[in-house]
Amino acid sequence: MLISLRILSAVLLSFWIVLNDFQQAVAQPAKTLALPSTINLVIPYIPGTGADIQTRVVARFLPKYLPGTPTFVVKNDAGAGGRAGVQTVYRSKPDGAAVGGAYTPDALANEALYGIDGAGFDFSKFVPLMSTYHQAYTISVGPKVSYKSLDDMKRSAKPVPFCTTTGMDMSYIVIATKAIGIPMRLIPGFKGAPTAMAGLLRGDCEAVSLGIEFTNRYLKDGVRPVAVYGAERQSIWPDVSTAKEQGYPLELEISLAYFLPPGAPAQLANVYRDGLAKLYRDNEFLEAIKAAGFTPTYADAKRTQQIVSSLSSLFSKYAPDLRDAAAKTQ
Amino acid sequence: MFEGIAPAVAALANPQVMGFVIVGSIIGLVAGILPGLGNIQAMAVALPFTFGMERLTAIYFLSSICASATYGGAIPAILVNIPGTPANAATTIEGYPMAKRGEGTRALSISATASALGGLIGIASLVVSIPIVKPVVLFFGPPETFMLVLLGMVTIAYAVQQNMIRGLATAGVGVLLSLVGFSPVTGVFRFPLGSSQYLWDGIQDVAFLTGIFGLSEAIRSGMDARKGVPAAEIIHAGFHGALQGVRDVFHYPWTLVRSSVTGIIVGIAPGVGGSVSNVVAYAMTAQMSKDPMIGKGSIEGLIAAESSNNATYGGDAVPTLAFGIPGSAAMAVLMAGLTLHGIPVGPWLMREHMEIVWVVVFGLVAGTVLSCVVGFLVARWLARITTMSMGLVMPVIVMLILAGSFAVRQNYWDVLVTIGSGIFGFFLVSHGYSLLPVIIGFLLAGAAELAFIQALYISEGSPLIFFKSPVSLILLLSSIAVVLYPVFKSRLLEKERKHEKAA
Amino acid sequence: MKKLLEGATILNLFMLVFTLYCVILALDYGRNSRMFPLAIGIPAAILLALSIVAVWKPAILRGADVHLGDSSASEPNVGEIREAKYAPSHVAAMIGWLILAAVGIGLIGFRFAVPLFVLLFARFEGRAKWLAAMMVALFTWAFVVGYFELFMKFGMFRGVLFGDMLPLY
Repeated sequence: MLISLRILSAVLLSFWIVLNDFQQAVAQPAKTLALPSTINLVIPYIPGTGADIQTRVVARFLPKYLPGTPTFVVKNDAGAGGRAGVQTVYRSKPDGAAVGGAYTPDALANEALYGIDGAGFDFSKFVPLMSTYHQAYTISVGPKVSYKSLDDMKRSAKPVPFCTTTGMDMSYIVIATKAIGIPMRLIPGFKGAPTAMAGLLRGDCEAVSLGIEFTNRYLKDGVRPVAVYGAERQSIWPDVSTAKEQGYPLELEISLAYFLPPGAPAQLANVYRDGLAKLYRDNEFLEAIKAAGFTPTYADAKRTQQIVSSLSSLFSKYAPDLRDAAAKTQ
Repeated sequence: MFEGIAPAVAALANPQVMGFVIVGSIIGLVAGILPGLGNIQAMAVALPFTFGMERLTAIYFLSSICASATYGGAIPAILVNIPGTPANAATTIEGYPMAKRGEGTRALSISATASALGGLIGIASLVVSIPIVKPVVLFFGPPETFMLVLLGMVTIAYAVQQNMIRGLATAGVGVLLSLVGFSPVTGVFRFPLGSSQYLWDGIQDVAFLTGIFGLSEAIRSGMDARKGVPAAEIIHAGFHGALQGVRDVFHYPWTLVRSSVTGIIVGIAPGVGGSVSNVVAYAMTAQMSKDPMIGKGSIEGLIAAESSNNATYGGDAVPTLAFGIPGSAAMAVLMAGLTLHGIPVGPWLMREHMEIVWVVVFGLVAGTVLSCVVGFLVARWLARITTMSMGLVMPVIVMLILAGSFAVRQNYWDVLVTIGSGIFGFFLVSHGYSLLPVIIGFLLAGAAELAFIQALYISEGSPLIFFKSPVSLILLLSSIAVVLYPVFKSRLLEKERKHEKAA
Repeated sequence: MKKLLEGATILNLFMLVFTLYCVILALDYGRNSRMFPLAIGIPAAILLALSIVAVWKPAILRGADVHLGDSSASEPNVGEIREAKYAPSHVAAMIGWLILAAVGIGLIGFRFAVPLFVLLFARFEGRAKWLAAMMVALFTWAFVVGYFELFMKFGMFRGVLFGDMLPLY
C-alpha cells in the first residue's frame, strides 16, 4: 500500500513537472528576430534587366511578410562581368542587412571560368533562401535558316554561327553544342538578349540559345525554335520537342536565386524563407510579376540547393570547354 | 500608326498627369545639374514611386525625367566648366568662356533654346520614322555601327587645336584608356594596371569625364583663387540677356539642324549616345565655322553641342521602341519602367501598344521643353554663381564631383579615378593640349573595336563585309569627305588669296 | 637637362610610358585582342616620342600646326611647348588637397570628410572667414547627406574607420 502510494506520488509529481514545463514552454513567446530597418537587395545586373525588374517587384511586396516591415532597397552592383554584386554579398556581414539575388547559371559560369579566387566567391557557401523564374533554355534559328532539328544542325557542313552575349548564354551554347556534337562558332559581344535576337533577325548568325519566354516573343518575327532543353514539353510551345525527345537528354534552365551571405544563422535564414514562401502565395504579388511578363515559379531552399549543386557539377564538367571557347575568341 | 495618339493626348490633358510631368522634369533637371548623376540614376530611384501610379501616368513621369537631365547638365557646364552629365562635355568649351566674360545668362538661354529645339527635331524624326523604324534598326549591324563610329572618330582631326601631332597623340592615349578592361568580344582582360576586379569593366566614363573636365577646371579655379583672380561681372543680365540668347539660336539655323541630325544618327546606333553626339557635332561645327570666337565662347559652337545631345533622344528611342534594344542606358531604365507596368518592350510594342509609343514620345517632348523653360526662367539667377568667390565655390564643387562620381556605382575607386583624371586633365590644359581629342578617343574607341571585331566574326575574317551594305558605304564616304574637307578648304582659301593678290 | 624636368616633358613622358605599357602587353594577347591596341598604340608612341624630341627641336612640331576654323586660335610659335603658368609649389599644394580629400573619404567617409574638406580648404586656401567657411561646409554636408543618402538612397561610403570595406581592386 505504502509502495503504491509512493509510486503514485512519483508519477503524479513527474506528470506535474512535465505539465508545468509544457505550460511554461507554451506560455513563453518565441524570440522574434529583429531585422535591420533597411535591407539591401543586391543584384549583379543593371537596371532594366529581367532580374532587376523581378527583384524590384519582390522588394515592393516582401516587407509585409517580414518582422518589423523593413524597407528593401535594390542595389544594382553590375561590375566585373556580373561578379561584383555577388562578391559584395559574399563579403557582407551575415546580419540580414544584405540579401543577394543572381541567376544561378551566371554565377556558376563565372566560378567555372575564373575559379573561386578569380570569381571572388564560392557559391556553395551562400545560404540559399529560394529561387524563382525557372525557365528552360532553348535553341532557335533565324527566319532564313533551314535547320529543323538538332540532328540537322549536327550534320551541318560548316560550324553553325551563334549570336551570343557573355556569361550563361555563351556557357550554355558551349555546353549544349559540345554535348550534342553540333559544330559551332561563336559571334560574341552582343550586349543583352534583345541585341542578340536582332543579330539573328538581321542574319549576323544562324542560331541563338536563350530562355523560352523571351524567345517566344520573337516568333512572330520569324524566329523558329528547334528544341527545348527541358525535361518535358513546355505548355507555351506544345509542338516543339525537347532535346531529350530528339535523343539528347540535356536539361538546361535559368533560375533566379536569392541568398544570404555565408555564415548567416539558421534562424535568420528561416525568417526570410518563411517570408518569401508567403510572398509567393500572395495573389497581388503573383499578378504583378505576371503583368511584368515573367512566370512566378517557386522552389524552396532545399530544391534551390539541389539546382545549384547540379549546375555546379555540370559547369565543372565542361569548364575546360568553356575556357577553350573563351580562348578562341581572343 | 496614329491610332494611339488620342488616348496619349487625353492622358496628358489630365491635370494629375501634367503635374507628374512637371515634377519629373524638375527631378531630371536637378539630377542633371549634379556632376556624376543624371537621368539614369534619377529614373532608377523614381521607379519604385511609380508602382502606385496608373500606367500612362508612370510612363509620362519616367519619360519626362529621361529627357530633362541633359539640359540640367548644361548648367554647371556653362557656369563652372563642369559637365553635369557626360553628354555636356563639349558644352563647357564654349559655354564657360561666355560665362567668364559675364554672359552666363545669355549662354544658359542659348543652351535652353538649342536643347529644346534639338530635342524637338530629334523626336520629330522619331515620329516620322515610325513606319520604317524596324528596317532602320535592322540596317545597323556591326559593319554599319563601325562605320558610324569611324565617322565620329575622324572628327578628332577637327577637334585638334593648334598642333596635329600633339592632338593625335593624346587621342591615341584616350583610345588606349578606353581599351582598359575586359573586352566582351575577345574575352580578355587587357591592361589591368594591377587590378583583378575593379578595372574589369574598364575606366568608368562618368568618373573619367567629370574628372578630366570638371575636376581639372576646379583645380584651375582653386589656383586662381590663390592668385586672387576676381570673379566675373555679369553683363547681358536679366530677362534681356535671356531673350538675347533665344534670338541668337535663330541666327544659326543650319548649325542647329546639322547638329541635331548628327545627334539623331548617333542615337540610332545602339551603345553610342549623347556623350558622343555632343563632342562629334561640336568638333564638326568648330572646323566648319567662320566664327572667330570658336574655342573662346562661340554661340555657334554652343548651339552645336546642346542641340545634338538632346536630339539624340529621338535616335535612342528608335531601337528601343522598335526592337526593345535600349539605345542608351537611360532607355534601358525607361524600358524597365514599361515592363514593370505590364508592357514588355520589343517588336510587338508598335504592333499592339501604339498608344504607349505616343506616350513615350510626348513624355520626351514635355520633359525637354519644360526643363528648358524652367532653365530659361531661372538663368539670370543661376548665372550669379560666376560672381562668387572661387575659394568658397571650389571645395563645394570638388566634393559634389567626388560624391557624384562615387554614387554612380558606389565604388570608392571611382573617386580615385576622378581625381587622377582631374590631375591629368589639368596638366594637359596647362601645357596647351586640347581635351577634346582625348575625350573623343576615349568615348568612341570601345564601340569601334567591338563593332569591327564582331563584323569580322560574322564574315569569318573577310574585310569585304564593310563594303557590302549601302548604309556602310555611305558612312565610309562621309568619313572620307570629312577627312578631305579641310584639305579642299585650305586649297580653296589659297586660290582665293592668290586671286585677291592678283587683283 | 632642365628641359627634361619641364612640366610638358614630364607629361609627355608619362603618356609615353602608359602607351608603351599597353603596346608591350598587347604583343602577348591573341590576334583579335591586340589588333586595336597595336594599331593605335604604336603610332601614338611615335608621336609622343616626337613631342618629347621637340623639346630640343621645336621645328618638328611646327609643320603640323592647324587652324581651328578661321579663328585666331593659331598663334605664332605655337609648335613650341608652352610652359605652365602656375608655380610648381602651388600645383603641388592643390594636388595635395585632392589627395587629402581622397584619403579623408577613404578613412572617415563622406559624412565627415565633406564638411571637413570644405571648411579647411575654404579657410586656408580660399582665405575665407571662419563663419563663411563653416556655413558653406554645413550647406555642402547637408546637401550630400540629404540628397544623396536620404533622397536618392545611395549608401555613401562611410570610411574604413567606421566599418565600411574598400571594394576589391
